[in-house]
Amino acid sequence: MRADTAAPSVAALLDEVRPLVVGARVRGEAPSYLMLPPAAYDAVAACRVADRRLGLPMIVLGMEIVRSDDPAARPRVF
Amino acid sequence: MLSPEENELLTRVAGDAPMGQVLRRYWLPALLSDEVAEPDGAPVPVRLLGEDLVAFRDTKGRVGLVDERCPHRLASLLIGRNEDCGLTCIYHGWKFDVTGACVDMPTEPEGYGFKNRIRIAAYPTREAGGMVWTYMGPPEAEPPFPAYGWTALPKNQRGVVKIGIRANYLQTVEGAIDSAHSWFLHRGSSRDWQKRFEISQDHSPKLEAEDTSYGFRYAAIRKPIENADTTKYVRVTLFALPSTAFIPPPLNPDLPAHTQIFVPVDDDNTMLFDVFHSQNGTLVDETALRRSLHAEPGVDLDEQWFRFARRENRWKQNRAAMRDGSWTGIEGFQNQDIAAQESMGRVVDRSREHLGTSDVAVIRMRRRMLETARRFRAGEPLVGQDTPIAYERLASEQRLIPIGQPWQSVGAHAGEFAAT
Repeated sequence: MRADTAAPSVAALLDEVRPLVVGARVRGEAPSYLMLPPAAYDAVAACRVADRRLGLPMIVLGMEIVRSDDPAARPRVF
Repeated sequence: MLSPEENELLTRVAGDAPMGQVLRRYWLPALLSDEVAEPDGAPVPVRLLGEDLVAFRDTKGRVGLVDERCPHRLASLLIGRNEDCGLTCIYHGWKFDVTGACVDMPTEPEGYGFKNRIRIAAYPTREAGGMVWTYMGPPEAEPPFPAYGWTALPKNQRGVVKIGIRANYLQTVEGAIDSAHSWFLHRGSSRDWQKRFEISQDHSPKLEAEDTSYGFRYAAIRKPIENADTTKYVRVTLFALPSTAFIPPPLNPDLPAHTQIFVPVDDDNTMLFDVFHSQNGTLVDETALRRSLHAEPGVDLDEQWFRFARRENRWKQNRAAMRDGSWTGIEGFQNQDIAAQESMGRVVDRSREHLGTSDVAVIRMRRRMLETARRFRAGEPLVGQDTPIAYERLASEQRLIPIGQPWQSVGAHAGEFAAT
């Protein structure tokens, strides 16, 4: 992924996902997973090479990420 | 967390790097006015955005900031003669004024106009707030000068602490706007810390960010110890692009507020200009300030303003003091920040980090900086330059407010600086 192409920005992704995590906690939920559309998931996976090599889960804002099959899916926590 | 490509884009500033080109389109502090106090005094080395420059005050009091290298044989003008409104290379006598014009070329025959065809890079300067500021971008894109309120204070009501940091500018900026760290890293170090602790001991504040025309601001909202059912304790920090953080001023109005400006020296080093400015007319003793912060030139700092404490001597951390109650074993809260920031490495690999929801300001700052880089590449006005900004009215603040009142009312400019 290049920062100057249309590929998803990891920086923007975090800014958009953070309110989802905080909002869930405010509602009394305790989410552990973050489901991402394929492009966003792949962008994060490209960053987490070392974690994947060690067999560690890929974590974003404390949530383990899960890949959605739907390219149009919005990120959600659960 | 950033992708490696985003990290590279945001951190690289030298040469033709896009972020360096972005930073050149803002006014930046280059040095302290006191470093070039005397007309015709000794020139001073300045490295900005990977470019080696020389600052000098000419006979008329004008400050020049020019390429360090004489264009003839590239000898350093740092050892040049500063006299008669120009800087003269001691090697062959070529002389340049503050505009970069070659005004004398004694080794070449007169009448052929060689000297009229030679210039050195020279950047406009402006003095304000005890600093010499410069603009290094194209003349046609020069933005208005950011005349923050404290730049108008008399000299005895402000002081600037200048410290070099052996780390990329982005991680130093992130340190300034990272509200959560102060409860740990600076535990017991700040004169304001105890007073804040008396108001609230809430270590997990609710954090919110809001884009503004100058960048963004964010609030740390805590439950106060008293009247938690009816009030909330709000600290609002401002971030003005490209690299200025307005820290909430101390609750004691006799203590100075401070504003931190981080200027990239190159990809691997940053110069912090930490401006302390009076809140109520109380005098600020700059020398005493530097002493109290363990940031005295010659004592704590070398000739280039970098700390003697560094990785090789473990930042002079005192383990005995840690056993006796000091959290860090490092004296001076700037030094604590710097030790933490330098310990991360010169340019931290952000693809490996694990941010939490408390890192809202770090997350938002990176997004705003990337947005600025995108605008630059698209030829659009940069963040902070697409609408007039009343810089003198920018203010951070911390106070107790009624629980139902929006945090946006804190900071004395609600609604005035809406993002475009």
